[in-house]
Amino acid sequence: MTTSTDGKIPVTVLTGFLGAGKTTLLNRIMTEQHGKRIAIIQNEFGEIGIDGALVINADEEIFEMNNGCICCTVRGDLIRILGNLQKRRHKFDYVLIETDGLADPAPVAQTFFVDPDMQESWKLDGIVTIVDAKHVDLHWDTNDEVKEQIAFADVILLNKTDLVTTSDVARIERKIRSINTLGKLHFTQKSELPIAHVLDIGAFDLKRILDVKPQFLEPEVPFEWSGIYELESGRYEMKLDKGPDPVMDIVMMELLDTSSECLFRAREAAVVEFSSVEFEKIKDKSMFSPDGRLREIQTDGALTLTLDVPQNGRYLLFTQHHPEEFNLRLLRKRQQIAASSSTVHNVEHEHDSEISSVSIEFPGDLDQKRLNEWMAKLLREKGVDIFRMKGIVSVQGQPNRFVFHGVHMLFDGIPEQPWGKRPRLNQMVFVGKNLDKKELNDGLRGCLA
Amino acid sequence: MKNERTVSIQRLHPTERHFFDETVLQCAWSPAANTVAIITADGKLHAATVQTLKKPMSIVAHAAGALRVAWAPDGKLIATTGQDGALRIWRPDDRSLVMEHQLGTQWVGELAWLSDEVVAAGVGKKLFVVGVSKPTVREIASFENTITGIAWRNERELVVTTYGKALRLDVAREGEHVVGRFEYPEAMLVLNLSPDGRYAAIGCQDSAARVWTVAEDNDAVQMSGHQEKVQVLSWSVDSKHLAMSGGAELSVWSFAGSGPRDTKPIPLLGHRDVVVAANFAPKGKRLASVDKSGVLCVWDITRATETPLAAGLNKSTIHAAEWSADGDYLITGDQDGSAALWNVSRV
Repeated sequence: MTTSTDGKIPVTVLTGFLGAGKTTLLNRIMTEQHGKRIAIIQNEFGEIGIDGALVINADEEIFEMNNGCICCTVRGDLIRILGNLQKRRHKFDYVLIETDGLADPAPVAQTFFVDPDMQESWKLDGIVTIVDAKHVDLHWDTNDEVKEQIAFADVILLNKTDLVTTSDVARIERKIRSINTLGKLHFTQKSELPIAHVLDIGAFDLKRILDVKPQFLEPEVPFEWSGIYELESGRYEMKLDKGPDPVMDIVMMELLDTSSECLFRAREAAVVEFSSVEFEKIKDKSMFSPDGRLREIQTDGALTLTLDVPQNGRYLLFTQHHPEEFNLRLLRKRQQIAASSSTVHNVEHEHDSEISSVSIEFPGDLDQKRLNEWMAKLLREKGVDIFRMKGIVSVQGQPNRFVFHGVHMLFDGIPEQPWGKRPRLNQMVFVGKNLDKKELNDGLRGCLA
Repeated sequence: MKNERTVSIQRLHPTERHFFDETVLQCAWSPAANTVAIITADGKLHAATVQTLKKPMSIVAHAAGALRVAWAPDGKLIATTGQDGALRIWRPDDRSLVMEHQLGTQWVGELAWLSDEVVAAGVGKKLFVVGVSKPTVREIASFENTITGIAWRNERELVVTTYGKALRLDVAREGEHVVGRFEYPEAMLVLNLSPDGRYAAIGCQDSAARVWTVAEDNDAVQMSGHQEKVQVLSWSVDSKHLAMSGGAELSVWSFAGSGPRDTKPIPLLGHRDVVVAANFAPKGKRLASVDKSGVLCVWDITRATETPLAAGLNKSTIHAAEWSADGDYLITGDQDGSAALWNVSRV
């Protein structure tokens, strides 16, 4: 059961292009044992009908939305339907709204903030967007809705990853991250993932804003190449020739499986390791193991390293530069071992979209008055283009962190936990259209006390 | 001028109360006799008289949930609509299903009888006119937006509100049906046509009501001043007064003489919580109103006072408060599933 201290029923908005897998996820949610009684509001043009009988058996109720196009008129509709559901609130404890594939999530989200009845009885838990890895490229440039739905999302399911190659997944991921750095990204097949990743996430809960960490874009990845090797335990030779750079950083780690999720985590770990100030310098005849630690190879001449693999398994090697530049080879008993798969990073910078994210972070205290004025002006002038916004700021004279979020012009903020001994920082992330990174940066920095 | 502090408010207590299994959604009195039809959240239709409230006749009308109930003008048939997309007509005397029509898969949210023979129903963006004794279903029009209210002006004409648009339709004519139109960018939430068919009062999301003079297809008069969206509207039987509420404020506008333009409404002060229903009595100028906290007030708007004649308290939020045909009783239905009968013959 969902327990809500404020008595409000949580609502999750599910978006995604036609065929992305929304209905599959809905069916999954409804058949899984999660103890929730869910009412579903589904658009009349839903992908495929959900079997009403099945739903009744599952003790859940389906309500079809009256309106075809959610973006223009459904706000009233939603109020009407939820107003009716409100009278039957003891029958369910969660509501899922499945939007039309072409829907703009903004009016749906805003409904929960502007209407008093809605504010009193419901709370928007999060916006979940499903992206079809197989077909997203087809719609990317022709349908703004695809990008807008990604931009609005708190959770993004990159679905059908089994139908595309690993490098396609990485490329689409870069596309997604070029738009939205805030949303939590999950790689899925047949919309399969733990339900806790999509329900009760508290994305609009100011007290949980601190949980959100922006995911930075691929161009910030400090390696150019990664490859997966299937290795048996034992010793290997890694040979390199003199290359264009005097040193090259590498990280090698064991990979539990080749799922997109696992690769994603491995890459995140590598990003962290590459920025580590503690690294081992290795030169000719040095020995190393795939322990996930950062190593700087002296590449001012040809060299041979010894790799000690402790156990049979899959290993992922990240290299600062492309291995071809150094003629990097991995050998066992003089036999060269090729990577079973490899990815080239940072080759294309997907900034073709006018929708993007801007992250700002700097230390110091802000002047309350100046901050209020700047924020008011920003939302007045740029609110239409700002889809989502989240932040934590340090206000001069205030012992507590000030946290806030916004959807277009709607803004909500509260003082949260005290700073205590932590360094006082300002962190802000915007997702929106035509965002001017410099202007936003200068604007917020201009509020420094 | 009467001193308000000396005005006494009669205390109301229910004379009868019955608990159903689920929340009461709507109550409707028979126009001919003191029989009431009640729909509950479990999709059941109940019918009872003043004497038999505790022993109602109950049937499952819409298993997926009921939405609307209305009596035919002669009081012999009851129409119900539901979340199953169906319209059903019942004869309460023998609990029989007279006819049913599956109008779609969506909620049938609006319902209005024209005569004992004809009923109109709104389903999403579609409007149907259904014949009863000779079962016929005619789809009148497909609208751009969801239908939020329907009301018959006369045998030919229907007034329909949708989000952002109100239309006067000639349903007797083939082909082009729209004979009058009023557009407003805000969501139109509720429609109430004056009994004389002259005015369509429309409650809007932007905390205002607009009254469109349908008869002349004139521009609307706007009535604002409320805190929240207007979901409650009621006309007095002589079409001279309109009660409206948005939030906890209830006010009455006069349409006598040259109308309400440049006038101020009578404020009715008695509710502290959001008013969920207000209805004028079938005769005279008494008005009943209920709020979210369960407060029931009965007013006489001819009195030069802002306080109610009588007031009562119900334990939970009241969803419906309807006058019996003779004006002697009020029935209320609430969130906890109870229907209460209040004798107001001496108020």
